[in-house]
Amino acid sequence: MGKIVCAYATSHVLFDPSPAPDRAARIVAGMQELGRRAAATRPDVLLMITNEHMFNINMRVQPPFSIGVSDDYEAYGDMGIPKRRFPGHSDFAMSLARFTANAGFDLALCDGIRPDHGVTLPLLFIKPWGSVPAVPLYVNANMTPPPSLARCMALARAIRTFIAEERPANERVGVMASGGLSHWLNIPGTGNVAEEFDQEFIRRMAAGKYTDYTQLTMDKILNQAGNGGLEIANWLMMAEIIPGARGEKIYYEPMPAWQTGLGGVSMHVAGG
Amino acid sequence: MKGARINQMIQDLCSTPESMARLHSDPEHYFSEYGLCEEDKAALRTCDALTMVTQRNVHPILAFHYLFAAKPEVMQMMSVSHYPNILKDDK
Repeated sequence: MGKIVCAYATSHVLFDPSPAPDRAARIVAGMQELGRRAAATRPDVLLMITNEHMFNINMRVQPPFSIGVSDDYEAYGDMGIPKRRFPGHSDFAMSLARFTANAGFDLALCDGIRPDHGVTLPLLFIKPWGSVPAVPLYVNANMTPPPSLARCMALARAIRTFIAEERPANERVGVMASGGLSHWLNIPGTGNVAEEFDQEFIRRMAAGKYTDYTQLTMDKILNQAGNGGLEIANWLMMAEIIPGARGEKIYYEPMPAWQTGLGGVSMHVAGG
Repeated sequence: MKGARINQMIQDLCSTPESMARLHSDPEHYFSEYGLCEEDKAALRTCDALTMVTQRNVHPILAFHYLFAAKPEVMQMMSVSHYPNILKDDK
């Protein structure tokens, strides 16, 4: 059985710091801390639950869930992130796809995609670059309707079983979620930050009380945290893979100039 | 679907460098290649994401993609290039 050695969640953008340099510095410090902690656990593979930003998965084909199955990737290069190569883990990814197919989930397979900042920005903080093979798992928050939280949680439980029962003994697995927190992305409300929602969400994640959110509809999250706030589904999936785990807030900053709240939590896992 | 042509046009900007070059060399001709209506073209000319989304059914993320193409300063603002230290030891 595989062993989950680290689990964490983080926002995945960094913009011009000049409107709020102190806050930006704390965000970067938080991302660095999460990356340091992840690297220190020496994962053999990092499952990255995130969302694509329509560089690879756009409106032509809109799968609710997709998985990167390549052994080698090139960063897309958006957000100024260098177009460097990094390793994937096709054995883990294909095995997960086969397992979940028998558990009621038909993941779209992505071979040859160029992952965008949802994957590559968090990887910037795991030094040195490319030291941990990554498996992107995309939740499609861009489609209407998006996959429900009930469906996301069920997939997370299947992933939990897969890691526990199907992976080689002592394989060290990291689980990371990226996305969020509240932001209204080019819809009415653009520029709003729901700081109270964000802070409470992080508090409950760290307290292991994430299930308070899993009953919500995506429409309700959209109303409370914006269309970008739907990305908290990624965080909730990470939590559902390690149910009962508590954690700690590493950072949170409301950044109206960036039109979002940004945060990160690190979870305490037995294998870490 | 509503907005299909304008969204397709923006998606092509990301998928082929030639599309980006055509937009930059002659935006009006590029818009016409996709058969965009005058309302679509007017919304794109505003370079206002909310206008594109709320009035012409551009996907909110694709509205960003269009802004990145049409206004490089937007892309520069939304960039990790402001943080050279986090890129420093990446080889």
